[in-house]
Amino acid sequence: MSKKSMAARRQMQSDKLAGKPGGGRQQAGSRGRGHRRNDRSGKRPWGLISAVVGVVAVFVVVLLLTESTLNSGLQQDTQVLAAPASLVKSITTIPLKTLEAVKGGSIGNSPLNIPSSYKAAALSQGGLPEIAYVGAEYCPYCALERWSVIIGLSHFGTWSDLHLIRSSVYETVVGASLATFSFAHGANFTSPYVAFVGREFQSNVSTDQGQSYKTLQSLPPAVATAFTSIDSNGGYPFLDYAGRIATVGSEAKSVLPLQGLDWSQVAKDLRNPTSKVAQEVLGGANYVTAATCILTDNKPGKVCDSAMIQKLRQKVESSE
Amino acid sequence: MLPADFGAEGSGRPPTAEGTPAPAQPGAIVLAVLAVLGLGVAGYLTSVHYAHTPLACSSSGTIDCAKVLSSVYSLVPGTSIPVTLPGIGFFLISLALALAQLWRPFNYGLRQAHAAWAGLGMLTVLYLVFVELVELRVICLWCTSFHVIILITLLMTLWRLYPQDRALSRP
Repeated sequence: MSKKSMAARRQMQSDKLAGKPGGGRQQAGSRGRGHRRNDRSGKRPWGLISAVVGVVAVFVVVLLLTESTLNSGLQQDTQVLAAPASLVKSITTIPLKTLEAVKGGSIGNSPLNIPSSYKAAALSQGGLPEIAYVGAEYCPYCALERWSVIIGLSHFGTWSDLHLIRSSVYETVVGASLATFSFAHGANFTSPYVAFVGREFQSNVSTDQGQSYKTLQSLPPAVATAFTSIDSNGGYPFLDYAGRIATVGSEAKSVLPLQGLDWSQVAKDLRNPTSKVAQEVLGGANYVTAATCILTDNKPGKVCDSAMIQKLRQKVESSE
Repeated sequence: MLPADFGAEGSGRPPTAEGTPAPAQPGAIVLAVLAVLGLGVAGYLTSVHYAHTPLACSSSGTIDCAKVLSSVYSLVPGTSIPVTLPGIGFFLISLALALAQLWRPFNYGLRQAHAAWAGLGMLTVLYLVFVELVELRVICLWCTSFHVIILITLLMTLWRLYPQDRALSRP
């Protein structure tokens, strides 16, 4: 064996001891694989990136198609039904102890004194201080506010010809299809203490899937002036207590407690002072009562002399 | 699967010959810039939420930031915390991961962690896009910019799962 071939054999043995897989030719092969691996490592993961972009794109397209299908499947409930006398009686005879247990409830926007700088017109009718409500039938916050107004004012007079409606099915952001009443369609309130004007500026009928709603009622000039001067954004609901006190926007923080409930379920929840419905609706009703007691000089006493109402009244009177 | 070329990177030890300067990391710099942009958007939306200041965005028709950002979906469920606060947390961690990759350019684990983090963010984005398109049926442009930043971050981290140049491979 030549010196050259012996040297080659020693190299192979050395490689085996070192755990290398083979001899010179295999080493050459290993270098080849290493070179290809380096080539692969230089490639970019276009497949993976394309897959992610594709998944996101397909996801968005599917959502858009789903949204279109769901939207066209929404059914507007624009029925106007006479409110059953039993329902009206149930919500206008809530025990005082229930109202007192709720107090201000979870109200986040109580009535405020109108600053003198607004020079608001003193609303009145037939010698009585006038309370004006401006809202819209589609509006979910108005849906909740009407329950409060009806209950709060029921201590001062009698409601008649109230009608049942639902807020718009398209107002899914805040709350859709909420069971409520309407102050349009002939609703009337009679009282020896105060007058009431309720106007639903827009209906709950939309022909463009909730982008706009049909106009329903016009506003009396004095109410229109108060609405546009005090509520500069023209937001619903708006309550003006004879030009002295106002609530701009919803008293309630959320209308979600009404979501999914029908009128009788709401009426039932109103009997439980710890329910979320009672906290929102009766809390608002108590503030309506307190603000009205300011206009009537605490008449009738059996309502306005309540310690809870007096406390809320002080809060309203001290507000700016 | 971890490429064989990255065998030494778990320890953060450069696989290149000693003394070889670390390669430039434009990818990590881009990731850091994306995180800063995301922090800016999330910070702005959070400040609008708490300061009750008007939002610089259209508020009519299909584009309506105010409608989205005042909806119940704009809060962490069961709390009054705006979802933009966890958004700030997401981008802070993303920024930390990007800076760590600048500091340890050969650490493959950092790249994997960043990709996983961005993937988690993308899943949240898909949920929020679902809320906008199906539940609210309006689009918030600020939120969309937020979502695009997270998508680009994810794509960038996936891109960087593969070696940027030969310097990251064994010689």
